Amino acid sequence: MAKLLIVDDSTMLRDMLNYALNEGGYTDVTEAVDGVDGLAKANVDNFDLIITDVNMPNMDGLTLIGELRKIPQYSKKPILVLTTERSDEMKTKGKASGATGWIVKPFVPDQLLKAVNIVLSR
Amino acid sequence: MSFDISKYREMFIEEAEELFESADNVLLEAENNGSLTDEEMGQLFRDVHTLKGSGASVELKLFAEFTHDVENMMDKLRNHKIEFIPEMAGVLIDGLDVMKEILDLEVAENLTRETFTEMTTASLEEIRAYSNGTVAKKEEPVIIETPVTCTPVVDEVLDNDNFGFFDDDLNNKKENKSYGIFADDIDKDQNNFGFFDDDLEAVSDSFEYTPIDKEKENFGFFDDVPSLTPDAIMKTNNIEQKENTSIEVPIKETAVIANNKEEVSSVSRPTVPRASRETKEKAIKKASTNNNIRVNLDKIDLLMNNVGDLVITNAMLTQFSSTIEDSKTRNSVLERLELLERHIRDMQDSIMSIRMVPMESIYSKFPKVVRDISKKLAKKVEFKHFGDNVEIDKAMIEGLTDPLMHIIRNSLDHGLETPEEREASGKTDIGSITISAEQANGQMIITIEDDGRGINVEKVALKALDQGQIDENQYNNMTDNEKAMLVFGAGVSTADQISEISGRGVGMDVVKTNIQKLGGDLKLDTKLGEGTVLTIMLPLTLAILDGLDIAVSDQKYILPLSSIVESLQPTSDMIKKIGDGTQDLLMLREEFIPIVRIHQLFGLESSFENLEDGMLIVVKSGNTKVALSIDEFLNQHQVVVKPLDKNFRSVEGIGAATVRGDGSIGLILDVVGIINAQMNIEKNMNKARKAS
Repeated sequence: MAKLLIVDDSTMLRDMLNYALNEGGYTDVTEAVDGVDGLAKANVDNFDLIITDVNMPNMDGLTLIGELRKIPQYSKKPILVLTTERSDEMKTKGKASGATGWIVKPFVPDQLLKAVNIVLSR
Repeated sequence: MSFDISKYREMFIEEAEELFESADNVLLEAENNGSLTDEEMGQLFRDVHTLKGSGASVELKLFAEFTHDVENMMDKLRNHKIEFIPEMAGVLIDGLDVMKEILDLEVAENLTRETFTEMTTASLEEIRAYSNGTVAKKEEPVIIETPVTCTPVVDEVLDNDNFGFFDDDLNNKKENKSYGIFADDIDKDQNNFGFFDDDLEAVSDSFEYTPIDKEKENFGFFDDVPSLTPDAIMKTNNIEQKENTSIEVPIKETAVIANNKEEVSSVSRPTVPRASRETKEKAIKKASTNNNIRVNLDKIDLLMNNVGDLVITNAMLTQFSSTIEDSKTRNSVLERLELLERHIRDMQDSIMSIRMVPMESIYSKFPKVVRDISKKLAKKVEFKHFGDNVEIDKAMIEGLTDPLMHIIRNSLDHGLETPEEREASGKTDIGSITISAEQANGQMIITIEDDGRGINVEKVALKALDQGQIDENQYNNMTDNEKAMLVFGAGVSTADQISEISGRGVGMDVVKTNIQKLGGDLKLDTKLGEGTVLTIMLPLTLAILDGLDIAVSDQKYILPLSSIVESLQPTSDMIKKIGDGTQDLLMLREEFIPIVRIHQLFGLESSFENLEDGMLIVVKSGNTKVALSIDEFLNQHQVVVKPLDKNFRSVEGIGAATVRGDGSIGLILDVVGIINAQMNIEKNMNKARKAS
């Protein structure tokens, strides 16, 4: 069973993500409220996939990805960024930070699951 | 699969309230001191960004659409594409107000596109003007970005079979997908396997991103963007000491041109702006304090209840162990039980501390209200608050916020004068309202002070007399402060004209009732022309109270210690009878205090006829005192309060219950209730007397 970490400062969005992932069969989901929390949780566990929001207090999502990529166990793990922006700028930033892919917010559950399935099956 | 949107909307509304409050407060401060720090701009942007993203996620399209413009302006401020000028704060505060209105209407499904346009046009014009730099200080150069067309953020996501593409996004014509995968780095990683042990080599390595998969149209890949390794990015922030200079140079170059939007699309730019590095450093420092979880208050109450049961069980055990005959065993059992009791008490304290939240959580609601009302009334106000970190029982916040809000409204409306009036009476034109909180003598003391015109106590007293709240005798004997307290009576208002803010005469009595419900008390000090100080005294918690066991006939009751003024054994000359001879008065140091026979109140057989054979306990609530006639008082102890109305039903004269050490139920007297009942009796007597 794949272990997932979702990082978002909005309780509601974490709930939505969690629900959608559960429906898709991913029941081992851990939640973190910001980058700092996410990094701390990632450090004590070994997640197979991390989905993170970009704009968060304390530590933003892109910084989090940069930090995660420095940790050997996460250097190659898939990390998806959840973003409301779809601009090239965002993509450049996302990619540069080391993210595997992006999901646009608001997300459609099926789309989210498709993206998750693909990165996890690789 | 789809979401239960209504459920998430509820969550969103709750979340939105906090975000609005947070953003409002930053802006209010900015409006006051005319500046906005980078950190504050970052927070503003995040708050509004979250509002947009979450709002869009729960299908509040119009809300998200308007919020997009507000966010856009904040984004530009954050990135210094436009410079902050003080007037912007007001524009953004108004923008947030429009957002709130839209949110309310859209959630109620009561918002048409026409109304939306009507509501937003004015605000949008302003926001866009500022966003595009057309309104700005002339001397400051403004980098004008290509105006962003207001594109609906949520575009037919769910009504579209095509998995919700964002096909109207101007910047993204090539990649109309709702998610994408940054070109595969896994292959590359495998090639580079082993490099991860060596920072330097990993840094110098630059990944080549190539698309790996293009399943249907739902995916986006990047093949034309030069890339940086994560490590290289971190280097631009000098976080890593070992640097590869050869790669640093190009990054700095891109950083410079990154300010120019047109070039940015073709060049990669460093991801981590300076500000976020600062935030990050701060975040790491704050990490320990940031380990918070949200817990439902009910769960803590349950925990508190469990510990309460533990206290009771412990008391039962202690009582039972005293029946152990062998004294050696008995003593060692008791010794260990004492230890247990201490641990339970520690646990009780810990749980209490979970329930405590800083006063800040109440204060944070006020600046916005003060601003809005003072603007409406054209008064100048400086609002100050002290004791932000003083902790208060979370359970009290709900009951306390409304009364405090009402008091502040009242101070603004009736207390403070207009700038002209103030100047005419030799004051500065800016009025002041100060709220402060402190813990003293096991009580929470909150004071609200204004330097306004004060309360005309005579006017209040005459009005109360006129309305029959007090009689002439009372009127003649009242001190100024007692007269001032009359504003807390129902229907008394000094306002000659009813205003929108307050002044209907309802409210202050509600304030008093609410404070008393929390087991608290009020005090009012006012000086005509100088101002008013309202002091609220509250118990630190609603969960535990110090009680005194009193015996009434064959029953035992618990009296909250905080309400007791004094106790005495009366002599016959201290007791006077009035009315038809059924009402007794205690004459104590030239003060007449009505006597309440607890036996009578609860329908118990009295064990004595003459009051001087029993004890009298003087209790008070506010300025009203009564003397309770009881048999005797017993011991004093802490009790865990269990609400009666939740478990049984409310009973007049009984505030709550507790479970005693022997497992029996103890009833806690409700002093406010008893006093009110007594006052009603007196009122009826007065009426009957007048009628006859």
